[in-house]
Amino acid sequence: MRFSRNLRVQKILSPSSRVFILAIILFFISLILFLGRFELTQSAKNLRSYTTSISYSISYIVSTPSKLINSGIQSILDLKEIYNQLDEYNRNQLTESASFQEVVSMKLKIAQYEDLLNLTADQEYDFITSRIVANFSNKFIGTILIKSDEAEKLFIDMPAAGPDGILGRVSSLDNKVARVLLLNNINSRLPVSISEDAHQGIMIGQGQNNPIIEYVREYKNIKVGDLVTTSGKGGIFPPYLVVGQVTRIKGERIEVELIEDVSQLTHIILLNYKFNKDNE
Amino acid sequence: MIDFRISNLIFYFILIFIISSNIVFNSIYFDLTLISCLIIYVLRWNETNWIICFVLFLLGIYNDILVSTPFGYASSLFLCFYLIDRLENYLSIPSNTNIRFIIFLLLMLILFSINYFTIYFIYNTPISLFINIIPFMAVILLYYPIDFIISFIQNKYVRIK
Repeated sequence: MRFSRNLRVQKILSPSSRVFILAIILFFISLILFLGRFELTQSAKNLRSYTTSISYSISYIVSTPSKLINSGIQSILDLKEIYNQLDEYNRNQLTESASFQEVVSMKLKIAQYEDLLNLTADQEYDFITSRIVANFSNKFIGTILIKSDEAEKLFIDMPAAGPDGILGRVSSLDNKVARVLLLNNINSRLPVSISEDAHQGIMIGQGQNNPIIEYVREYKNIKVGDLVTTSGKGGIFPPYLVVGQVTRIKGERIEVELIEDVSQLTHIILLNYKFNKDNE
Repeated sequence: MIDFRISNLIFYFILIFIISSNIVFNSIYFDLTLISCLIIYVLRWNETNWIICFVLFLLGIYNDILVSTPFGYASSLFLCFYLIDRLENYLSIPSNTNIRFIIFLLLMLILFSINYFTIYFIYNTPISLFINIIPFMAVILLYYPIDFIISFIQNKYVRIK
């Protein structure tokens, strides 16, 4: 009896069993971290912001071969695109020279009409240009990592925009890199205004799918093609910035196609909106 | 005792390299976290080397920080695949690649279901079934090629078992 018990103890204490037990313990720790939603705690947020630049630096060095392969493929595709554009340019050269005069006169006319209508220029904000260094937009937790020369001027919740419209907001930052939470991230919530009638709603990220707008009272008045802009409520995003266009309406579910495709961008601008608001 | 043999370090480096490549490759067809899981599952690990567990745990945390997934997500995946591999070893399954493949396939389907329902119920987001199943299918399709390459490397150059 004692002999068999000793055997069992020896088996449990054997090196392979100890490794197995250790793996189980670490597995459960990981599971507790994940299911307990440790990422929502302040300590997790601090840990993430302190370690993002370290992990980025490591991955930047380690993934150099991948980067070389990727840039090689990209260069080939770019070269092909340049040749295609050159062909197209040669074909259009003759027609373009004829229509140039027409375009100039049209622009002058538009300027005159704007003067007559007493239109004011779009509100402008101070901005900081940042380079996209890593793109994780194709995941359900869509984020990008950005690097800026003026990193000290960045702050949490700073609105991020592309040339056409809004992209997301800064969710974490340290002295080297910052992370932007994109509008398609499932954690993203953005107060929006739909169509010229300014129907209010909240746009919710859906991962790889188009975001949807919820909590719209007059959802029956909304049509496919209506423009979606930021409403300015909540104080994070400035109002009237283009977000996208309504592409599908299914009951109360309003689907929006975002105007900005982050995979096509190399740089983004971060709007110094909070700074302007404080000065007002 | 800490095992710092070059053979183990090579595989740790391969895993770090794949996880780090997340900053370069942004594809809906390939999820590098799942590919790392496949490599962990396919590798024949040293049974008595306890440092492997810590390395997998830390690599998971590194993946979570880099990709911004919730803390514990990648490390629980890595350790789950490592534990399943250990369990199969204990039950003497590893000699049969097809059975291992079927177990891997089932694991992937379970993982996909958990992933899908977690996002559906916790985040209240009905994500697209088709788009989200693609990376899982890609990893399943990659099973035999990666198993062949890893087995070839391990049989020819290293003996970590």
